[in-house]
Amino acid sequence: MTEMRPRSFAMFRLPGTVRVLEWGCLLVIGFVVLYPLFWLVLGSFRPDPISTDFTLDAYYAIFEEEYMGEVLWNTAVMSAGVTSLSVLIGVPLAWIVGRTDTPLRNYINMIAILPFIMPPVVVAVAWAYLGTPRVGFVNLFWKWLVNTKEPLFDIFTMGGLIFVMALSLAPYVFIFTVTAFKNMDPTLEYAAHVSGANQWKTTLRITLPMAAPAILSGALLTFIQSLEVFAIPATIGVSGGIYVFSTQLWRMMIGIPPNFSHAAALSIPILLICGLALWGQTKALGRSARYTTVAGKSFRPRLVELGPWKYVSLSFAAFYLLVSAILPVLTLIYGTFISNRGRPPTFEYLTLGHLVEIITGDGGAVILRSIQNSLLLSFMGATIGIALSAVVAYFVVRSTWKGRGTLDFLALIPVAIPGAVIAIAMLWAYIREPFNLYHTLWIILIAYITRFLPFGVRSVSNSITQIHEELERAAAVSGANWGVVFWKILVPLAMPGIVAGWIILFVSMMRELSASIMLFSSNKEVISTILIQLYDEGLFSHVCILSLIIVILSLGSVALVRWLTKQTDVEGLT
Amino acid sequence: MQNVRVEKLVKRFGEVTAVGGISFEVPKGKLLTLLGPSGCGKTTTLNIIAGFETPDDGDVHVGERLISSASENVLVPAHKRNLGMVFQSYGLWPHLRVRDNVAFGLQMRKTPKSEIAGAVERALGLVRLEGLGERYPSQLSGGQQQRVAFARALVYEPDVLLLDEPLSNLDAALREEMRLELKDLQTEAGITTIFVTHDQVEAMVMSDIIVVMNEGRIEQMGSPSDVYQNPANQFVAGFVGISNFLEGEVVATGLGDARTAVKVGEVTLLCGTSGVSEGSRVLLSIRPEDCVASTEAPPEGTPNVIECSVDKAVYMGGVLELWLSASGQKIRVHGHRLPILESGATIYVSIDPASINAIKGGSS
Repeated sequence: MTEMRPRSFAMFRLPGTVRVLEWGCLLVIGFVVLYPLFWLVLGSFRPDPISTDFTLDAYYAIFEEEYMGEVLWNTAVMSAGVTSLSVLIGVPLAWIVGRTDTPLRNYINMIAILPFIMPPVVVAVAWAYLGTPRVGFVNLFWKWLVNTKEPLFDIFTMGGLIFVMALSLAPYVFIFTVTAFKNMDPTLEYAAHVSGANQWKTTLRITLPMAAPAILSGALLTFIQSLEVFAIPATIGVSGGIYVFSTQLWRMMIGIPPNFSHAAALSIPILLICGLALWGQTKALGRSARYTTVAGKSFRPRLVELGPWKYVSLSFAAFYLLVSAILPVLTLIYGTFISNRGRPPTFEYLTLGHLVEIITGDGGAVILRSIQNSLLLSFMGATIGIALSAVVAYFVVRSTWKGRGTLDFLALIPVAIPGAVIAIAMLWAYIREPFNLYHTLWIILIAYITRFLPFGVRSVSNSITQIHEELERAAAVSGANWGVVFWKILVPLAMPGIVAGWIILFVSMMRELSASIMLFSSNKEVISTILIQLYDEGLFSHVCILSLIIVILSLGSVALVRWLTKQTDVEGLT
Repeated sequence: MQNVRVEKLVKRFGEVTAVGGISFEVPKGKLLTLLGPSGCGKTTTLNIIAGFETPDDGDVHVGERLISSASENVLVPAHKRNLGMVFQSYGLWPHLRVRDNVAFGLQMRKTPKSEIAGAVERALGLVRLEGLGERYPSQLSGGQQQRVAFARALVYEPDVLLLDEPLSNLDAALREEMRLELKDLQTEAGITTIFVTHDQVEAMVMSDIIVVMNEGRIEQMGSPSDVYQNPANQFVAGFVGISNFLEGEVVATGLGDARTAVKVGEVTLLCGTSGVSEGSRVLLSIRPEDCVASTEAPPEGTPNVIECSVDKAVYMGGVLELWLSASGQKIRVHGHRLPILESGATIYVSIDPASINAIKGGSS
C-alpha cells in the first residue's frame, strides 16, 4: 500500500541494532502465530496430546460422530442466514446514512460503533430475556397488546438465532458499505442523470454496483464472524438445542475427558473456510478502493431527497437501533435494579440489593475474582500486545527491509482464526514442554495477545501512515539521526494512535469469550465466562449487572478513543 | 441540434448570490464559453442548465422547449433534458467497460440492442478509440479517458453539449493538443456547446462566443477577438490576457485616424477610442505584446513613443519580458530580438494608437 513512496529508512545509515530488531520481531511474531497453528495441524493427526502416533482417526471420527451432520447443517443455515440478513439490514442503513437526507442520519451513523459498545455476549443474554416465549419482555408486551395467550415468537429457534446474530453483525456490512457510499464521486451519478437515467435506475445501475465490492467485503467479514461468535449460539442456540460449529467444539472440549484430537480435526476445515473468506474479503476491499476513491479530491456526496419517505427510512433505522441496542440495554438496567424479575419498574420494586449481593453474597467471591482476573489479563495483554503491535506496525509501514511483507502477512493471520480454534491450537501448543501452561492464566494471556494482534497492528499502522514522512525528512535534514527522529518525532506523533490501540485491545480482552471459554479453569475464570455460567444458572440480576458493567466500560473507552484520535468518523474502531 | 436561451438566471446560496440574473443565447451549432475566475458563477450556471441545481429565478430554453423556469414552476429533471455532458473528473463509471460506459445513454433511451453496438463503435471511432471498447476506464490514459467521456456524451446525439472544465485534469502538452481536437470534434458534430473554463487561452482557441463572468454577473460577451481587443472594462482586460493600465485625462478628441489624445503624467498618448469627452478621466489598457520596444529611437513622426528605463528584464525564450518605468508610470512590455538588457538601460517603446483602448470611467 505504501509501496510506491520512498520510505524514511532509505535516508539513514541505520544502527545495526535496527536490523537485529527487525529479525527479532519477525521471529517473535512468526512464533506467536505459527507455532500454535503448527500444533493444531499436527494435533489433528494424533490420537491425544501425549501420544506421538500418526493417525487419521480424528478425521474419520468427526464424520462418524452422531450429531455432526446436524451441526454442519445448522452451521451452514445459520451462516448463510446471518450473512444474508446482515446485508439486508446493513446496506439499506448505509444508504440511508450515506446518501439520503434522512433526518438524524449523523446519529444513525452510531451504528458503526455498535459492535464495540454492544458485544455479542451482551446482545445474546439480553435477547434471551427479551424473547423467551412465556416470560420474555417482548412477548409479554405482545400478549398484553393484542390480548392473546400466544407469544409473538420464540427466540430459542434457528430463526431467533439468526435474528440475534444478524442484529449483532449487521454493523460490519454497514461500516464497509457506508464508507463506499460516502467516498463515491458524485460526478458518476450526475453523469448517469445527464445520460438519461432517473434516480431509481442510477441507484440500480451505478450506485449499487460501485458499492458491490464493499458490500461483499462486509458480507464476507460477517460470514467469518458468524462462525467465530460463540456467545449467541451458546445462549440462544444451546437453549433451543441448536448446536453449531463453535458450540460443538466447546462440547468436545468440556467432555470428560476433553477430546483434543477431534476438536483439532474439526478446526482445520473451518480454518480453511475462514482463510478463504478473508482472502476474498481483502480482494473485494481492494476493488472497492479502486471504485470509490479519487486521489486528492474531496467532495460531499450527493444526497437523495426522500420527501415523505424520509420518515420511513428514519423509522427503519430507529427500529434497528431499538432492537439491537436500546431494548437490550433497557433490559440490563431493569434487571440490575428490579427486586424480582417480572415486577413493573415502579419505585417500590426498585432496589440496590443486587449490587450489594454481587459483592457480598455467596457467589460474590467468584465474581470479584473473575473481574480481577479479567483486569489483570487485559492490562497485561493490552500492554504487551500494543508494544508488539507498535514494533510490527513501524517496520511494516516505514522499513525498507525485504521481510516487512512477510511480517505484515503474519500479523494479519489471526483475523481468520475463530477464537475457539485459537484456543484449541493454544492448548495443543502450550500444554506441553517446555511451556506447561495448561490451567494457567498465562495460556489465556497468550491467546488474547495472539487473537487481537491484528487489531493492535492496524490501529498503530493507521496512525503511523498518517504521519507525513516529510516531518521525518525535515528532522533528518536538520541533522537528526535515526534514533532522534524515532524518539523525538515519530513516537510523540504516533502516541495517540498507540494509546487508542491499547484501549481497543484492553476492552476486546475484557469481554473475550470464545477462546476464554475453552481455556479457563477453576480459579482462573474471567468476566465473560462467569457471565455465561451465571446465565446457565438462571441468575437474572447478576447477568444484567455484569453485562451492564461491560457496556459501560465499552462506552467509556469508545469516548476515550474518539477523544484521543480526535476523529469524527469511527471507521478505525472495529 | 438546438439553440439555448438563458434568461435572467438567479441562484443564491444562503446570503451569497452565485448567479445574479444573467442572460445569454447560444446559437445552433456554436460553442459558447463561460469564462471567469473560480467562484464567478460559471459552474453554477452550467449546473442549472444541466438540472443539478434549482435556480431561484429565470428561465432556460433549449430550442422551443422550456426546461427550467422559476416563475412558471417548470423544472425538467436532468435525465429528461436530453443533454450531453463532459465532467472535469470525466465521471467514467469504473465498474463498466468503455463500451458499456458509452452505451449507457442509449440503453436509457431504449435504443434497440442491434443499433447500440454500431452507434457505440461509431462514437468510439469519432474520438479515435476504435478497439478499446473492452477496456475498463482505469486501463486508459488521462487523454483516452477524456475522449471516452466525450464519446459517451455525444453518442445519443443530445440537443446540447455541456463541458465542465474538461481539460483541467490533463497535463500542459496534452491539454494543448486536446483543445484543438475538442474544437474539431465539436465543429464536426456541429453540436451546440456550452463550455466552462477559467483558462483564457482555452476560451480563445475554442469559442465562437465568450461570456466573461465575475461575481455572478456578465462583464462582457462577444467573439474572442472582440473580447481580447476591445475589453469592456478593467476586469475583462485584466482577466483575458495581460494588460498595462494607465490612468489619464482626455485632452483632445476628433483627431482623424487617431481620434483621441490622453495625457498620462507627462506623456500624451493617442488612442483609437472614440466617444469620450474632453476633460474626462479614462483608463488606458495596453497589451504588452502590442508595444514595440527598441534600443534606438524610432524615426521622427512615429506616434506614441515613450522613453523608458529598464527596471527588470527577464529572458523567457522567444521574448524578453521587460518591466519599465517612464515618468513614474510602470509598464510591462514584450520585447523581440533585443539584446539582454541591464537594469537602468534606456529603451524606446512605441505603441500603435489602434491597440490602445480607453476604458471609460477610470477612477478619478
